[in-house]
Amino acid sequence: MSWALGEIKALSIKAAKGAGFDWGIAEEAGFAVEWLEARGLPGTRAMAQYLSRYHRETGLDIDFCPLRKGCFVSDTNDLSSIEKTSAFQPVLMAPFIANVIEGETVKLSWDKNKLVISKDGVDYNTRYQLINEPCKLFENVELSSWYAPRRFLPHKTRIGESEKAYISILNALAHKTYAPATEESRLAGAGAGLNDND
Amino acid sequence: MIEANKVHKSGINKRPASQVMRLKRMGCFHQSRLSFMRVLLRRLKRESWSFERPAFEIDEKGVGYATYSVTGPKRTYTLIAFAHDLPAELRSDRVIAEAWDATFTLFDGVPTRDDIERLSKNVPLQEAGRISEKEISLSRANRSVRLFEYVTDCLSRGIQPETSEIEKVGYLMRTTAVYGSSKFGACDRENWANREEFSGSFQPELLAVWLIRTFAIDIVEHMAKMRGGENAVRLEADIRRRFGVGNSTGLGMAPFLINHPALIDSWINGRETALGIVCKLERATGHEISKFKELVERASLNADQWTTDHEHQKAKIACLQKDMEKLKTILDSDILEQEKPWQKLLLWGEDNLGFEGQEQLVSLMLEPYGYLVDDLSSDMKADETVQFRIRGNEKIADLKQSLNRVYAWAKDIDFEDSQANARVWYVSEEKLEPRLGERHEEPIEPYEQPLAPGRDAKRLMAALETWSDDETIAAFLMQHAEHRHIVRRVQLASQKDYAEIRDNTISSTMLPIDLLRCKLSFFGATKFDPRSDRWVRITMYQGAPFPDELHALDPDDLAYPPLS
Repeated sequence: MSWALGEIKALSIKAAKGAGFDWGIAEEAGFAVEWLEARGLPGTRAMAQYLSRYHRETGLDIDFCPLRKGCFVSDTNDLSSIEKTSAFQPVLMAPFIANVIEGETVKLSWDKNKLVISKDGVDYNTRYQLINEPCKLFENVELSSWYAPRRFLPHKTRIGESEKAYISILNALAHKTYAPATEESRLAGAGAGLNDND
Repeated sequence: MIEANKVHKSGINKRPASQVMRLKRMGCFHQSRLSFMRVLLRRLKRESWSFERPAFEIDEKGVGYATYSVTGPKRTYTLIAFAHDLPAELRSDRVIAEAWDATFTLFDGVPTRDDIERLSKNVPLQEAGRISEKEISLSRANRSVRLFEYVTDCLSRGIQPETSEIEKVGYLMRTTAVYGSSKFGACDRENWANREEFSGSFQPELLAVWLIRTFAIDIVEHMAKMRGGENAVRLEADIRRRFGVGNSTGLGMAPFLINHPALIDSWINGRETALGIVCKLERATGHEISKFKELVERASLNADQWTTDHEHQKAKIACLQKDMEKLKTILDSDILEQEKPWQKLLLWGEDNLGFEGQEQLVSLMLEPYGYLVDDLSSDMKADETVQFRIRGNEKIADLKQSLNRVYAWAKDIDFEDSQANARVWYVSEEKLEPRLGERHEEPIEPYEQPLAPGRDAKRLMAALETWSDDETIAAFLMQHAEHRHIVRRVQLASQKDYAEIRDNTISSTMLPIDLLRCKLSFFGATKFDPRSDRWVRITMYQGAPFPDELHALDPDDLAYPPLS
C-alpha cells in the first residue's frame, strides 16, 4: 500500500489545523510535507511528530516553530533570521529556505545533521538523526552557503507503507477538524430527504 | 490556428468580473465548445483514437467485470468496470452509500490479471478501498431503475424503446462521484498533467465517464439478451445516442470553485476571451449566420425538453424558453448583417434576456467560431503551486489597493448580521464530505472551513486599519497569522480577474446549486435538475457519439438535440 503525495498534502493541511494552527499556516504545512517527500526526505513523519507535540503542549513556544520561522523566511525572502537559531524539527524549514535561495546552495545543520538544500533537490549525510523521536528543540541550528552537491536524493512520487503510523497520527489530528454527525446534519447538511432511487 | 488566435486575442474586451462572477449568473451557465467533454471528444476524433473491449465477463445476473481500452498516439488507457447485483434497498446516490450497481477505475495502460484481481478487491469498496499510482480515477454508478428495466424489457422482446420514455430520464446509469487526482491513493495529477492528451481540465475523469456510458449500454443489451435470448435486439444507433450518463452531484463539489481560484479564473477567462474574440468580429458570413440560427433552434428544443420538479429551476427554464423565442424574433431582423454583429447581439441580450438566456446566447455565439476559439481550451488549467507563495515584501498599501479593487462588494455586507453569516461550511465526521450548516442553530462554528472570502477580506480590511501603508505584508503576517489564508487569496485574486466570486458564500440566501451549475457547465453537462438547493442531477454526453461511431460523426454537431 502507498499514498499519493497530494493525498498526504491535503491530510497535512487538515492535521495542522487540527493541531491548532490557523488555516494559512496549515496550508504551508501541506506545501512543506509535499516538498520534502517529493525530494526523498521524511516530511510525513517530521510533520506528524511536530504537530503532535504542538497539539499536546498547548502554548509550545511559537518562536521555535519551524513552520512560523519558515513562513517568515519565505515572506521576507531573507535567510538572515535563521543563520543561527533554535527550532523544533528543523528539517521542516527546508521547503521555505528553498523558496528563497534561487540558484544558491545552502547547508542547514543541527547536531550531527547536515542537510544540503538547492532548488533542484536535497542531500544529507546523517540519516539516523534527521528525524528524532520524539520531536525536540535544537538550539544549535545553523544555515550557511554551501557547495552544489554531486548527488541529490532520488525524487519520489509516492509515500510508502513505512509511514503508516505517522499517517495515522496526521489522521487523528485531522479528525479534530470534522464536526460530529447528527441526524439533522445528515439530512439538512447535505440537502437530501428526497427519494433518489428511481 | 494559434497564429489566428494571437491576432484575435489582442485588443478584445472581456466582460468584467463584477458582471460575470456573481452566483446568480454563474448558476445560469451553459455548456459550450470549450466544455471539457467536447474538448475531449474533438481530440479523440482528431487523433483517431482506437477502442476495444478486451473483456466482458458478466454473468446472467449482471455480475462480473468488463474492460474498455482506448489507444491514442502515445498511450493506452483502460476503464475497468465492476458490475454488481445490488438489492434495491441499498441503492442510494448519497455519498454516504456503501454499495452501487457498478464501480469503475480508469487504469493508466493495459491492466494485467493481477491488476484486475487487486482492483476487484478495492474498487467496489470505493472510499473504503485503496487504489494506486496506476489508477487515474475512481467512480461508481447506479442504474435508473425505471429506465433500465423498461429498456431491458423492450430489447428482450425485440423492440426499440420509445424515445419519449428515454427523454424522461436521459440515461441508464447515473454516476454519483468521479474521484481524480490522488484521491484514495490514485495517481497525483502532476504525474499526468503534462501529457498532451490530458491538456486542459478533467480530461481523464471525463474519458472515464464517456466509457461508462458505453458500459451502461453494453450491460442493458446483455441483460436483455439473457432475458429474451434469440428474440432480443440491440439498440439502434440513433436511439442509443439519446442515452447520456447521469450524474448526481451534491455539496461535496460546491466548495471546489472557492478552493481553486486560479483554476476557476482559467476556466472563466477562457470562455470570456472566446466571447471577446467573437464580439470583436466586424462581420459575420452567411454560413456563420445560418449555422448560428440552426443552433438557436436546437438550443430552443433543448430548453423545451428540459424538465425538473424544482420550483426555482422550473421558473428559470420557463424564462429561458421565453428568451429563446425573443432571440429567434430578433434574428429575423438584420442584426447579424450589421457591423460588429455579435457585440450588438450580446448587448441586445443584456437588455432583453434573463441570465439563463444571456448565458445560453454566449455559449451559442461561440459555436460558429471553433477555428478561432477552440484552442483556448488548452489554457483552461492551472498550476496552483505557482502563486501559492506569499509576496511578503509587498507593502500594506498594495494589499489595501487589491482589497479595494477585488473585494469592494464585501464592504457593504454586514457580516455580523445573522442572515449574512447564517451558514457554516464544515466537514462532517461521518463521510469526510463538505456540508453546509446553520451557524445559529448547530454547534458547528468551531469546525468552519475557510470558504467565506468576502467575510475574511472584510476582517482583513479592519485589521489593516492600524497598519501604515509602507509596512510590509511579512511584518503584518508575523503578528497576524490568522489572516495568512486570506492574504494569500487576495494576492492571487489581484492578478487573476475571475478568481473570486463576488458574492457572500455564507449568506442565508446563497444557493449551492449555483456553484454546482457553474462547475458542471464547464464539464459540458446539460439538463440540470436540482433535487433541492443543495444537490443536482445532470446529464452528460447525451447525443454524443459512441466510441464505435466517433470516426463517422462530428461530436460538436451533436451537442444540441437534432431538430427532427
